[in-house]
Amino acid sequence: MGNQENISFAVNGLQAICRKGLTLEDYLVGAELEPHKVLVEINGQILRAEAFGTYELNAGDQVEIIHFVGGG
Amino acid sequence: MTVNGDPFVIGGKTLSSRLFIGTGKYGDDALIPQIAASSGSEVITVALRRVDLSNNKGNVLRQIPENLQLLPNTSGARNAEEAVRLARLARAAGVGDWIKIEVISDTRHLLPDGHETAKATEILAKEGFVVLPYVNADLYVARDLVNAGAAAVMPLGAPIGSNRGLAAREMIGILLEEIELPIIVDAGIGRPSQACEAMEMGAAACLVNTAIATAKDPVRMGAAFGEAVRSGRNAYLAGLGRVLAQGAEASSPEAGALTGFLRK
Repeated sequence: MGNQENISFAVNGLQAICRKGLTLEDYLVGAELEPHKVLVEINGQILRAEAFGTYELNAGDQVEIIHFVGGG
Repeated sequence: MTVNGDPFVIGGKTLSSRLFIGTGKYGDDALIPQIAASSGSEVITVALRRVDLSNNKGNVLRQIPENLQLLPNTSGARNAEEAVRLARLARAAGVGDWIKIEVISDTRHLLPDGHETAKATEILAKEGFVVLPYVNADLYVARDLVNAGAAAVMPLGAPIGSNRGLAAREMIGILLEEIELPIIVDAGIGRPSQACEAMEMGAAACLVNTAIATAKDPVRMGAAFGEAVRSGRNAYLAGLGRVLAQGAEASSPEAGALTGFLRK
């Protein structure tokens, strides 16, 4: 009981929902993103890749998932 | 290989090519390694963007050969604060500490904001970044960048992506005269001859993206730019011959001309 509680947060400006306790790494894998190929900011702070597996998403988190693209 | 023992040292790296290339506007990113090879370039720019969660096309880094120095840019930044944020993100990715500062808030001409660029340069240089700021060819802005700790100054030749060449030729010439830092002409160069001219004038390097990416054969155009930049550098080092203000001067000696002898 309580394990199924869902939380709402934002990813790249869009609303998202996940179960409480989900780590960022689990979220990335679920979104079919390779964790070592993206950069993540949470609430304006860079989250180091080493912390992806331990960071549990919180209600109201503003998550930015960024990667390198072609540019000049 | 260096041009006549003329390596380009910047950010603690010794480069043998003075052509920097970009990775934007390629229909197929698989061209990127071929262009890196054909151009001989050792420095390549990339940008940072939000992942499109509904249509993730993957990371451009997988197409970039490992021996190239990555130069992430801060495109998309509209002020110094946003540029600093992007620079720190790029460094967190573990791709080194080179950063091209690009701050643009004008959406029509896409001209860089020198004031905000200098502010970002000062912050990032203090944090140990190798800062390569992209600016208008403006002497006062360039001096601010020197004082802010930039590793080079990167004036535009013409508005970004325009392929209109060295529209700012005269102002770039002033920077070359007055600024001690390497001047890297970035943006607007459309033809290899224009890159060659910038190098003849004394530019330390050129950054070319659109002219290569929009060519019919980008791989061959990469080679053409590589050769043009080398040629222009050699011409600069050789010292251009003098120009006559008027008249002409035969290249062959007058003395002993057979036709004159026969006419007598």
